[in-house]
Formats: sequence, structure tokens, C-alpha cells
Amino acid sequence: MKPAWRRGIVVAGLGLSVLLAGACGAAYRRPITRFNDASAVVIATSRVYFSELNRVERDALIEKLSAEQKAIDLTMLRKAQPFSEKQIQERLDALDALAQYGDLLAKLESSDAPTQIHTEFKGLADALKSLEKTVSGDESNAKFKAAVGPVASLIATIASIGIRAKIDQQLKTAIVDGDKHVQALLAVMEDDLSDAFQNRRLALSQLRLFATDAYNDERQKGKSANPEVLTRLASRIKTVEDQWENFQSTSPIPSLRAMGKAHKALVAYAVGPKNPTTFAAVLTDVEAFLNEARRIGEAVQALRAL
Amino acid sequence: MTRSELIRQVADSVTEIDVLRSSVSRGTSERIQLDELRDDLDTRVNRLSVRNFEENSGRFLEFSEAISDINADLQVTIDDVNNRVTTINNLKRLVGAVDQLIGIGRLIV
Repeated sequence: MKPAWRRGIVVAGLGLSVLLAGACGAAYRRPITRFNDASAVVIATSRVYFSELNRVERDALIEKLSAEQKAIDLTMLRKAQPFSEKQIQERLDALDALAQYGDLLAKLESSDAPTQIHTEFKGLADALKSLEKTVSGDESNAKFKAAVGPVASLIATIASIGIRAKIDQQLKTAIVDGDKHVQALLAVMEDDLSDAFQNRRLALSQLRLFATDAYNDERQKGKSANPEVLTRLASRIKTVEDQWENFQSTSPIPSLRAMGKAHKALVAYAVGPKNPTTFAAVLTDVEAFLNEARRIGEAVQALRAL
Repeated sequence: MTRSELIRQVADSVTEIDVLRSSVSRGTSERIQLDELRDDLDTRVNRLSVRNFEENSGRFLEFSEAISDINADLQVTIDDVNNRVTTINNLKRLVGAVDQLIGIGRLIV
């Protein structure tokens, strides 16, 4: 617990920040900048999972067939890939929609040129509508259609008021009206990324077994076992075990949930009074989101570096 | 329970089978059975992940509860070297229960 005088300084500092921000017409600057930074990390991390959906399954099959010294043919590899290219692209496009929404908030917050914003938003809204059309062509992706479509409509609405409303009002509209759509999109992402995480986990779990099997097979040769091979295979076990340990902390789900919570905090800030207390409250949730995003970002980087 | 939670539960069992398999020599009858059951469950995790379910329907609740119960039984025996026959039987039950669930899902691929 901080002493009272230190808490006083912190609150006074935050108060000054709010006053200065208000004077600049940018009371949202810090929360939105941080929110957008964190969103970018989470989106990049999620992109890794979606991009590698098929590769993980394909590699797992190759490892398995190789360990069992079985024949490998391309038909088998194609069948091992559970998602079509189109479906993966739709998920990546949905991530883009989320990223563009964050950019929209950042641009609204930082721009003094509503006309230019109007043009940019119109382009964004058109892109999202195109995505909605693509997704809706496939009945099986109803949940993506339901999640992406409203975001496109929302941005189109904001674009239409861009030239006549004040920036702060636009921000409030974007955040408040966007919340249910952002939360819906995050829920869809969570569902899919959770599956992708489990697929990857199973592939890695199988690799752990192949590593120990290879070592045990060599060891069972008894006196004819090659010590150098044994050392190399033991080293392989260590590498895979390191990957396994690191992998447990790479689930993107906590960061998606932190993003949802941070956006809720932005909504509360947008509709409520702008004072040091509310500013501190929104910053707490947004900073927590940023920390979670950085943690997952570093964990995924570490996993890829192994 | 949601579809994603069920997938995680089945995946938990698969990772535990992998740990178990690593202590059973390749080529033995037990290991061959475990290898096959592992493949069966891995395939079914993939099938679950490309299906949509009415998660509030009675049948979904019934089948998901059955899967949870079998998973709980599995936890009791999977670490017990002297109880591998029961473990293998529980794994077969798990495959059957997941198949029932897959049967009521709508394919999304």
C-alpha cells in the first residue's frame, strides 16, 4: 500500500494529465494510444495462430509418419489440413477489422482534420463491407458474418457523421456503439483461437513423445547404442521440453479477455465524467491489457525462436 | 460447458496419453492400443473443431456430461501402472462418447 501523500501525488498528476488533455481536446489520448498498442500486439499474436493452423497439423502428420517410418504422400498431407485457405483468410480479415477499429479510434483521437478522417473512414467502411460480403457467401461462417458485419456498419455510420460532429463526440460514439460489436468479434476470435491453441498443443505433445521414443529406441540397442547419437537425442528432448513449458504461456485467450475488459473501461470513461478518478480507472484496465499483450507477445516470440 | 471447453478437456486427456505412452515400450500390445486410441482422439478433436453445436440443447448437455464423467474416471487410472486395462477401456469409452457428440454437430468446413 502506498502512503497517503504518494497517492495524493499520483492523483494530482493524473488530474493534471486530464486537464492538459482536455485543454488539447484529447482527453482520450493515453488510454486510446495504449489500447491501440496492446491491440496491435494481440492481433499480431492471433495472426500467428490463424496463419499456422494448417501448417501445425501438416507438420504433426509428417513427424508422425516419419517417426513410424511410414510412406508420405501429398494427398495425405492435404487431408491433414482442417481449414480451407478461404476460411483462414476470413479469420485473418476479421483480425484486420479489429485492427482497423483500433486505428479508427487512434485517428479520431489525434486528428484535427475531420474532412480527411471522413475520407479515410469511408475507405475503411467499404473494405469492411466487402469483407462482410465475402464472409456471408459461405453459410457455414454465420458467426463471422454476425461479428464482422456490425463493425462495418458502425464505421460507416461514424464516417457519415465525420464532417459535422466534433471529434470528442465521434470518439464517444465509436467507443460506446462499438462495444457490443467489438465484444462479439472478440468472442468469435476466442472460440477459434482456443481450438487453434489446442491443436498446436496436441501437435507439440506428440513431438515430446517422438523425442523420448527416439532416445529410448537408441538406448535399447544396449552395447551397440551410439553415445553421440544418445547425446544428440537427449538434447532434442531438452529442446522439446523447453518448447512445451514455454508453450503453456502462449495461449492468446487471456489477452483477448483483457482486451474486452479494457474496451469496457473505455466505454465507462466515454460515458462518464472526465476526472482524475475515472482517468485512473480506465488507465488501470488499459495498462493491464497492455501488460498482458506484451507478455503473450514475448512468449510467442520466445516459442518461435526455439 | 461449451464446445471449446470440451475440446480442451479431450485435449488434456490426449496429452496425458502421450505421457503414458512414453513409459510403454514401442511394439508392445499395450503401446499399440494406446497409439491407436491417441490417433482416434486426436482426429476427433479436429472433427469437433470444425463443427458447430447447439450448446444449450439437451443432447449436447447429455453428451458433454458423459465426456466429462469419462474424463474424470480416466484421471483416476491414467497414472496407475497396474490399472492400464481400465485406462484403455476408459479411453475407448471416451472415443465413443466424443463420436456421439460429433454426430449431433453441424459441419462448418
